[in-house]
Amino acid sequence: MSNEAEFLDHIEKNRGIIYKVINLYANDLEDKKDLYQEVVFQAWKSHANFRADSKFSTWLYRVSLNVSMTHLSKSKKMTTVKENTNPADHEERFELSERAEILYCAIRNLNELDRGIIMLHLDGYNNTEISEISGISKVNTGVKLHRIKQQLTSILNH
Amino acid sequence: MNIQEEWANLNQEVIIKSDSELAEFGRTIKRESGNLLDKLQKNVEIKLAWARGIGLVALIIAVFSPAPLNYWLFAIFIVYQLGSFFSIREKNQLRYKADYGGVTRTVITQQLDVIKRILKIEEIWGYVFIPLAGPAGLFLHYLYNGKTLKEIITMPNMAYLLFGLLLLGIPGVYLAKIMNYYAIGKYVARLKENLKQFEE
Repeated sequence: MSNEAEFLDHIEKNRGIIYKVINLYANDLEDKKDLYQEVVFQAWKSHANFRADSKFSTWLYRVSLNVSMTHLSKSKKMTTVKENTNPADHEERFELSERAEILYCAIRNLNELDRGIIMLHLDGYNNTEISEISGISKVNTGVKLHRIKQQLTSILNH
Repeated sequence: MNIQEEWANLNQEVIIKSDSELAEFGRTIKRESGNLLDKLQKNVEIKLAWARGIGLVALIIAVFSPAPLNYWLFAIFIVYQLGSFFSIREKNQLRYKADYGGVTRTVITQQLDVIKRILKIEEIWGYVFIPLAGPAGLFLHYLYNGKTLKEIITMPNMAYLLFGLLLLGIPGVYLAKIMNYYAIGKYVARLKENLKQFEE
């Protein structure tokens, strides 16, 4: 995949992955735009290292998560995302249905790494794959997932 | 609530809504990263290039200056070259090309390591080059006010004045450290916090 148009086609087809990730890491529309562009830019820069034997979607997931976890928001809100997870506070963010909003906020209440782990898990990645993407041991991934699910259940049941 | 089922529904909603907000960015790649790390690396490059240029200016002026000013200027040139040498050596060890397709933990660890090295370069740069900013400013001030280089360098007590200005660089170094802390501190704190989450 050497050509820019071809690369952008792949991005277009897999844009849902970027959307999902940035929506859980950026707070407002400005941050989202910024982060989206940064993910595409870094993916373009790193895509020479993309191995054709792995899935583009998995690779893009990695890039999106890594960029989101290391990107510093222009509006300086990303580091305080946990303090700003009340649905009513997200005036700039699009409105989700009530049920989706509850789950969305529950996940945003987790720490940044846990958000990535549960996202991968819910998208069908197994513990080995999550371990390979994040760098946490397989055993620890299982332990973390168990804890995250408990946390989520607790938040959702309130 | 079935989390898996809700997640699938949430995804559908997120994609539809995000398309309306972000579709305009989907067909282009911006040309410059907004990432702080990339900016830091660029800043270091600019500073080193600037330092090399100033060092050469000091050498040229030294050639045409009488003693003891020429000794000071030669010393400045040598110090600049040494500073540049150590800074460039440190920079060459960086060889960092961000690969965001890598393992998350490694990406964060690498970035922290790169920042540490960049700060080391900044420190070398600060100790060597900031103290010389005062003397350079003094020269420019006189040149701007119409004095010739010969008049400036033959002014009484010029060598002592330059030495005094060199000493003023000490608070300058301290100030630069504080500025670096404010510029990078938040980014480093975020990376460290994320890395800590891997241990929990």
